[in-house]
Amino acid sequence: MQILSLNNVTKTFGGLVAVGGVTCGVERGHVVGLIGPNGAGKTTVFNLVTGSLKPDDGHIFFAGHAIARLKPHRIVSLGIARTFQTIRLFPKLSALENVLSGCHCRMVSGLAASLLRLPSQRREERLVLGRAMAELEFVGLAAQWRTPAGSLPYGDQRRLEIARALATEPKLLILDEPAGGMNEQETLELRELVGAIRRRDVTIMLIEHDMGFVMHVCDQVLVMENGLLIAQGEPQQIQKNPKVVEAYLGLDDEP
Amino acid sequence: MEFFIQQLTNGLAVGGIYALIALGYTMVYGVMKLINFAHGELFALGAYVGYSLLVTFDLAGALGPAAAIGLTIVMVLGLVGLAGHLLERAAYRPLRHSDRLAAVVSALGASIFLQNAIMLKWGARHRAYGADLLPNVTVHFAGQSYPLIRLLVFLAAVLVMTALYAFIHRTRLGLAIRAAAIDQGAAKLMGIDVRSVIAVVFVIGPALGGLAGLLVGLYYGQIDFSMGQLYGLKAFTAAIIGGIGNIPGAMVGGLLLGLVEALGAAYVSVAWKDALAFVVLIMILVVRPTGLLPERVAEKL
Amino acid sequence: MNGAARDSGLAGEASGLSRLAWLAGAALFLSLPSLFKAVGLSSGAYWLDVLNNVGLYTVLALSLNVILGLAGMFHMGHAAFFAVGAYVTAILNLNAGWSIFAAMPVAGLAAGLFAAAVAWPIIHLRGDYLLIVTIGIVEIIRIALTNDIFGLTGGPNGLVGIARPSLFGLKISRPQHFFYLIWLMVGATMLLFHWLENSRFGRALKFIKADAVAAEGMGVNVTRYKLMAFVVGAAWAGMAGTIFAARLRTISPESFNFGESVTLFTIVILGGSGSQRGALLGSFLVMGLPELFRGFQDKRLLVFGAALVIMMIFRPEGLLPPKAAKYALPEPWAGRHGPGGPGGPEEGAWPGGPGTGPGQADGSGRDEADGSGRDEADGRPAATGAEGSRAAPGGPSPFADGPA
Repeated sequence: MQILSLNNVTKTFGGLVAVGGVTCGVERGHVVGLIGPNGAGKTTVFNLVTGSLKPDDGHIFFAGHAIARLKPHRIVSLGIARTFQTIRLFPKLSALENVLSGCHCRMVSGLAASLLRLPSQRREERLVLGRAMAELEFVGLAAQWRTPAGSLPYGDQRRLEIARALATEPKLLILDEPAGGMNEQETLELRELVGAIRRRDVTIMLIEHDMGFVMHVCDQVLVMENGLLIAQGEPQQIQKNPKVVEAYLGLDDEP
Repeated sequence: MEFFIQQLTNGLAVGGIYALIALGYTMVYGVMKLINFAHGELFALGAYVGYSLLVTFDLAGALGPAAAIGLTIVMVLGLVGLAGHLLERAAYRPLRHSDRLAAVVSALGASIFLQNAIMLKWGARHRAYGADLLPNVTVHFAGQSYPLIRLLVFLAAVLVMTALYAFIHRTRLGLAIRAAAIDQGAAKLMGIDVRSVIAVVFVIGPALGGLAGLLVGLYYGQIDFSMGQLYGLKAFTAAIIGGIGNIPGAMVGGLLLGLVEALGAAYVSVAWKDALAFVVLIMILVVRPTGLLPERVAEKL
Repeated sequence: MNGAARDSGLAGEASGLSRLAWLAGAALFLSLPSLFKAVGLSSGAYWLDVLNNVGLYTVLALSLNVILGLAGMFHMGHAAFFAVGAYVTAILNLNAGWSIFAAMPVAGLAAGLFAAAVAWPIIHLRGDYLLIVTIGIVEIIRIALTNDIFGLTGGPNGLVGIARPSLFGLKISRPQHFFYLIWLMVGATMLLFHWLENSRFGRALKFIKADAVAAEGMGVNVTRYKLMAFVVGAAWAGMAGTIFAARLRTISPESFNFGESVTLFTIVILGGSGSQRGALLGSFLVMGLPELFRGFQDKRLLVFGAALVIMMIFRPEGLLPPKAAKYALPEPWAGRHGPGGPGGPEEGAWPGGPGTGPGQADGSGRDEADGSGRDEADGRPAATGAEGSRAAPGGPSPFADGPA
């Protein structure tokens, strides 16, 4: 069953076609890699799926909902969470508070309950603190719960961003270059983490330039070039696809 | 029709003054991303320096009107420019890398300081430039007569704005200012001394504001120590309407605001005149959130 | 005492002491009216008036702090909401004979609705554009009041003869009565807003301030929360307006001009944006301290302006910047990673009840996943544990906010 499907999705920026009629789907439970040379339109696809950008044309369906016109926060509550290409944590707030931002959309306490600290609010707060700590523990950061996100080492910040996204209880997690800037050891750990996330029945879609990483963790790979989807399939097929080799693997040696 | 044309020309003259003040806001904002709340007070300072020279020292009596005005303009530009430079050194430079709101409060403090300094120096009462300061000449054009001073104020504003535009677009220093306005970091990497660009901007902007103060004194004949606040707010509004950081935008915004006020006071309501500027501001920003001629900004994801 | 402190954990003890100091200070402060009388201070009523003014501005600054300090919106028009509250109170009292305390919630509601109406079309404006628009709103309101809008506001002279409030038969008329009324309001406001700040609502505002795009991306309805912040701040300012009107019995447009908005803005930023203690200190400095220098007369404001510049240069983040929020972790986390937040009074009141173990609460998939990630997770805390304790709460945030 497809959890996400894009139907002829198009986005242009002042005449420049960033995404030109992309049609594709993501199977529930899969880890799907989105690859392609720089400027191919990968991040634009992510921004369209998460609602940061609105498509000029086409439809996006997620778990039975048409989401192309929804605001990002609505899409999050429907079950799509993301990380950003350049880390976008709240640097001055603690690791715990960062994760609590993800919990926000699964909480119900409103203005009055918050202002008057009603019993229901306190109960919810206690529960949520536990949930947030569990997410921190899941990525191995429970001990640093008080550390401001901005003073965590780079690799930890990446993982905190994932914890924050997981706290929204997503069905689909979108990771924009999760291994970017990581060293070999950290990349290895990230691989483990992706495996652990998928065991939680979360579908994953990721952009990554580290081909070893993509080939290792992904069930499906989508390849984009110049705003078009030029190939899709299992990693082994993609590696052999001459179009892909020409467009990407052969020419662009990403580190 | 006659009434309309009188209001129109009056609006253009006032709009020219707003535009001159707005240039100071917009230049400083462009380079420093700072609202110089003390700019209105520098404008008032210009009016008072002009008052001292023309009334207290009676330069017109000593040199004749034309030479007196010429010398006063030069002195106002120089002295208010200097004041602007000192202001930047004292109140803004130490805060260049701090939180933006700290700089805003520092600017508010500087504004309070300057306004009270002017009051202590020149007194809390109105000061009159005097009606006989300039020969009361009227110009006839297309069957109507206009006060010469109205024409001069408008011409002066247009002349200065044209000169500034040429300076910004035709000189190396102007190029440096534009570069620093787009991206300070990149400008620094290209070898531009951003600090001296800021210093230059903080001389030119205040000098033009001071000149506008002198023009107000000559046009209306009366000044007071708190005049900087309302003119400052209106001119800042003009800069925002035009798209802050954008020099032609400040000119467009200033002239537009002058016209709206003059015609609004004539045809809508005098009592609501001062509110009109803000009503126009809100209407424009609701439709165009970054003004009529905005700087190019894209929220990066 | 020392031994006990060591046993119970220094952090907890220190906060207990400071809580004691706060209580003692508050008690001393509340006995000021009697104290003034006891020592026969002839200007006692005057100084109580000054303190009342400080208290009123504290309430206003705390309400502005929700918008400016917590949500980070550049709002320099708070006097407009204050004005709506004061005028609604006066009109209800003078024209309809409402009592002051009956008018108070209506004044708050009116200010909140007004805020929602004017903020709705402009809520998306970026920083400085919002700033000038909010200034514009204050000016429009002031001019509207001056022009006797709807024939209700009395024009430039304003409204006179507003009744005194009375509470349980006690007529509140003298400075010491208002002293208790106003400072009770300060206390209630600080408590409620402290709760608000440390809740889902308050955190949402903090996320928006830190990075609105990321907040939206994490599921926060940014537009809605920005509007709500405006409504809450405005409603509170409106209720402060009620007290203002009742205290002076006369209100006129000039009480709500751009300068008042600037004063409130200054108090919040000078005290420390987002900090309640800062708003309190800022109100004392801006509204109280100058009264001590009446002798300087017309040079007072000159010095005040220069002092603002100097203070911002030396404390750009404000005098008392907000502390990191405290969290009392539920079991089983409470004991495992050092003491939770050293326990403000509210957190201390939490029943650390059993049955809140999150590990069990989450699905079975979690445990399995946890296990697989364990090998890398275990190495980390040891390596960075020192870092965790270095960043213990209570210290000021180590980040200087660079200009965007």
